Amino acid sequence: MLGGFLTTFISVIVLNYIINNNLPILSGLLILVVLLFYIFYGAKVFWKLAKFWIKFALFLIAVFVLFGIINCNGFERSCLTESFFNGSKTALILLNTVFILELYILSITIDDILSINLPIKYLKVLILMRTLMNQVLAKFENDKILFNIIPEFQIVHKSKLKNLKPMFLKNLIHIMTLTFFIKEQGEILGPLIDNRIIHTHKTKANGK
Amino acid sequence: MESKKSEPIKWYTVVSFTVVVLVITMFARIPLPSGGYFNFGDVAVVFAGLMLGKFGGAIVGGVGSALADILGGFAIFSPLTLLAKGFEGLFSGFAKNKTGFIFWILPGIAVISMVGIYFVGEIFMPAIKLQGAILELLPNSIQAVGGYIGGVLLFKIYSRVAD
Repeated sequence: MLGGFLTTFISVIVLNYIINNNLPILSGLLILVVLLFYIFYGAKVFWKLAKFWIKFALFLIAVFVLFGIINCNGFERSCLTESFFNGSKTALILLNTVFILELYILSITIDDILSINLPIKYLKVLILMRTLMNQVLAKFENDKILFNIIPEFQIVHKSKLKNLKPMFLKNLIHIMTLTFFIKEQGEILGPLIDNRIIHTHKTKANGK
Repeated sequence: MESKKSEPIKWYTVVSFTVVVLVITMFARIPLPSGGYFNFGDVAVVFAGLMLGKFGGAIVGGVGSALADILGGFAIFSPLTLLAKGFEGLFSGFAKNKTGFIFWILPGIAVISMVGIYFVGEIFMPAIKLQGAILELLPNSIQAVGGYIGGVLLFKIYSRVAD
């Protein structure tokens, strides 16, 4: 896990600060990273991630071109070509960085983190967080269905301006429900974990 | 201004609120007429700050939101998010147990600091630069306004229900 982290960290530094001016290398690297993504995680996972980032990268190029047209001086090539070139470089750095980071993050499981030899005071935080996450994800989906049954919150055209207020209120109520639930669960499970630590770790240390 | 002295926060309360921020940031969002989305992460951060105070707010806001970035495919922003949302939680937390003008102004400073930190931080990111930072300014400002209104409103409702 540490080796993977160091490799990813060095790759991102090299990409962002050393080879950041070389368009062919950046393009080649992107093809390689996308291929690795396809091989390890499949097309579905890749496109789920790529959908947002490709759109953002295209917007980024458009803004670079716009800036180039507005602030046009001192370039050897035409302003449009130069700004498009700069925009493409930045977009390629962005996409490479995002995909390299995701390649590493997707390879980590919660068990990898729990297997690190952390002191119990940090490990208990991870254990509680994992337990609460498992509980809350199931509840989140159930609550969503329940809220959609309430007549005031049965909204068909979700992107209309007049529906923003009820949808906003619906989500606020949803957050409040979740907060009450998670806080209650935390208050039950937290002391139980503390109790178990006292009765296992301390007893062991005392040699009882 | 100070209405009551609060008792120390337990570690499991901080973890619980971190999970709230994490889940809300990842899953609670509404579509906007512009085609984008408003996510309720900032609402949760402001709310957590008002509930837990400055230290709790900073930890919950920073860690919860950065984890949501890592798990949601935005890992590139996670260091910046840790800082921006950490400060958002911290400033909101200063308003805990305060009333009147201070209560209303501090969460406002919190969300403005979040937009400012993102903007400055993104300028120095080689993969974003000034152009990308400008592109992000509008969505971040919408997040800030929604986060302020929602966070303060939620805190008021929660306090009334919890009482």
